Amino acid sequence: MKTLYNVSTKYGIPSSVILEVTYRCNLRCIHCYVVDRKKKELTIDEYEKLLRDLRELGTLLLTVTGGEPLIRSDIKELLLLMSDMDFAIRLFTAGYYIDENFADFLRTINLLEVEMSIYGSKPDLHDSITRVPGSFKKLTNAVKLLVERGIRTNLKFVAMKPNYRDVLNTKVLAEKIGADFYYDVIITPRDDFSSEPLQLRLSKEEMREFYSTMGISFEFSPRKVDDFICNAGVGIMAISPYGEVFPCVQLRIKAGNIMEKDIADIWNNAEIFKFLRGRRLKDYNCGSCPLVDFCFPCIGSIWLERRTMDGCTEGLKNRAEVLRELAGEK
Amino acid sequence: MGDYKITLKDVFKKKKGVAYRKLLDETVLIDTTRGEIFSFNETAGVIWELLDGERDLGSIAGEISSEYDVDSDEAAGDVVEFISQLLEAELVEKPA
Ligand code: SF4
Repeated sequence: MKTLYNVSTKYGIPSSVILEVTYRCNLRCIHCYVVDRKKKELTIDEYEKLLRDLRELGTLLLTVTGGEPLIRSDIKELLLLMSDMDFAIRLFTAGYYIDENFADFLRTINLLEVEMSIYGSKPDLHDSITRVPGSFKKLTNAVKLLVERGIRTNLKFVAMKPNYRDVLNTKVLAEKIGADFYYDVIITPRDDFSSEPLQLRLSKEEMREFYSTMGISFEFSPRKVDDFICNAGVGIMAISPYGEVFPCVQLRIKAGNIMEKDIADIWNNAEIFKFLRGRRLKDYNCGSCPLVDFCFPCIGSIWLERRTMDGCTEGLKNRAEVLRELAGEK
Repeated sequence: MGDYKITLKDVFKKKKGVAYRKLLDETVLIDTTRGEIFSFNETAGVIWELLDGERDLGSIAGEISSEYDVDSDEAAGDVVEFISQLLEAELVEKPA
């Protein structure tokens, strides 16, 4: 099947772009990596130019994220603009501000899916992680409104020390209310490299318990050392609310700012993009790592934790070891 | 619309929720309602662009015939054939 990745590599274009439209948020999630630097955000006119340029460049899919994107007072206008320019849109939100009216609006645009995070099957647990009472109720209500309207809705569970044992109950709940369920165990430092969120990361024993509970539903196959390590800077890039351009939301090495240069110029000429396009899996430590076939290497999280793209993190290594162990038992 | 007989008087428009981008020699589409990706070759991409819910297929075929210097019967045949594929893939609809 055709994938956007194939399209990107064939034409050398960013077929998928992540737009962080604000860093503001009404939740205060304990593990969140976003740091609100409280600068002036791009205006709707600035976005209009950016979107025209991205369309020209060949971008087809936009992932709209934050912070909480719906906190922008012009978010409807912005989403409509994207849809009118024939982009497909994925929306990441906490669902807090999704009411009937907004859900009706979402049905009218080119919306591929809505993704929201869920941290437990009960209000107390979820709200203790978002640190906002009532956020669980708002989230489940949002799922209901979206599912009723036939909008594809994904709930992602981020497994951390306080909640990982609740994963199965959360999965049952997500499926009962009509959402698709995903999970992740990788916690990264914040964007300013501060490491507090790492205290929440599962230990190796906890990861083993987690994956034993969930079972391994994916197939492992040998990685090709001549492939790109990931899509960052090859088929995707991320643009901050202040116009800064990065290879992805975790690999925050600045490629430029759209207020100073056109996005096409940045995409085609920034050093970091050229660097990433020139390297393959074999050029990183991962290429010679015995765990690589059981790993989903993420150079962004390695960068955030170690300030180098070469190396590894405890979280990635533990996960790969646990997966190799459990795959061997299958 | 399985048995629908397409004629050159018919008018179609792109289905709502289909995002698309014209690249060098192909047009890539995402049907957001189903989450599926499609791609068309260059000529099909031109026909796709012209499906605006106002022009009939005869006029689109005329445009293809002059743009690509093919005779008008052949262009009409190609347009009808492509539209039947689009109908089958549920990517176009009749304007309300
Ligand atoms: S365990 Fe670490 S070094 Fe090995 S493949 Fe995974 S991320 Fe790379």
